[in-house]
Amino acid sequence: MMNYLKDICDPSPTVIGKAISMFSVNNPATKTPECIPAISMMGTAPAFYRIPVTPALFQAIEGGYYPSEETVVLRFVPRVPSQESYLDGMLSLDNRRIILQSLEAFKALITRVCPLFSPSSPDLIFLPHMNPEMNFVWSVYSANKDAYIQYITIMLFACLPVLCA
Amino acid sequence: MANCPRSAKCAANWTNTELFGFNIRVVDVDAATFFESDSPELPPSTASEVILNNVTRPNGPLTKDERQFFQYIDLVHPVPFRPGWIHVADFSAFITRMLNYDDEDCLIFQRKGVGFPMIWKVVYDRLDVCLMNVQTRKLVLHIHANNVRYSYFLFSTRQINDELFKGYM
Repeated sequence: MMNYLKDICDPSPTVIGKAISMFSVNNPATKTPECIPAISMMGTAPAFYRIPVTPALFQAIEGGYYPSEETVVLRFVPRVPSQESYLDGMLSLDNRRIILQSLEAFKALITRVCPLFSPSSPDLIFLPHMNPEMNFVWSVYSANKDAYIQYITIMLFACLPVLCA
Repeated sequence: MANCPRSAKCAANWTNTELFGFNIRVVDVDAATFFESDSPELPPSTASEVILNNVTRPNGPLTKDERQFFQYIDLVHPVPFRPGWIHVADFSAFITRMLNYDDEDCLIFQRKGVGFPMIWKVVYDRLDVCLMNVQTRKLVLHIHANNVRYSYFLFSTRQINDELFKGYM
């Protein structure tokens, strides 16, 4: 019973799961490693996270297997004069000053560490794959527009006479 | 944990089992390590002196940010078993706006739907508050508004137990 309570009271798994969904949204085609920043708010008391999501972890979650590489998530809970009163959050002036300072530092960290503030990935990516109808399909993915902009289909059977000639 | 049973579930239902199952470990660090700074001191706050020096809303003229800060604090005030926690996401969105997280082509969104593939299924979820760069169309930050009153990593099991029994007395 207590283990179950510990599980449901800890926000970390949910925060990490949502970071993985962010990774999926940010990288639909090109799976490049990212460090996802996140905050968990308990009332007015935050806990800060830096969640590294790698293609290996993402593939393990997608395929449902145990990844060999360990993922270490960093968590920072601001140190306030009385840690027992931390969940009072910004009600206390001492806590409020430290929490606001931490939020400022986190904002600076995001702009410094997170590469997503500037477009760094290439815009157009060509992705060849084969669909169930046995056609070769080239998808052209635009990273900036975050959408597939064109599909080029080459029918395999239409090409066979040419290939056999 | 390689043989840990795994099933597709949305992030809201993730527990420590998923973390063990996918070899994820959470480590608590200090400010210097987390913020990659040389000194353990945090930078000074840019919030107004009215916010930093008054517990409750003072009399007199206030700016819009100051007024809303005290109003949100009143709403989210974490009194046990008071349903103020439903305003946590709204407060989170407000505080990010107040601290200008939405500079540099970023916008703040609430309840944004997202999905990701997990064990050959697609699971869907909602980000309580998130920050999106509108130029790159990428999500930069997400804030999880906790709807559970007590957190395991801050409270001992004894304290959690006591509070739970209070609810039945």
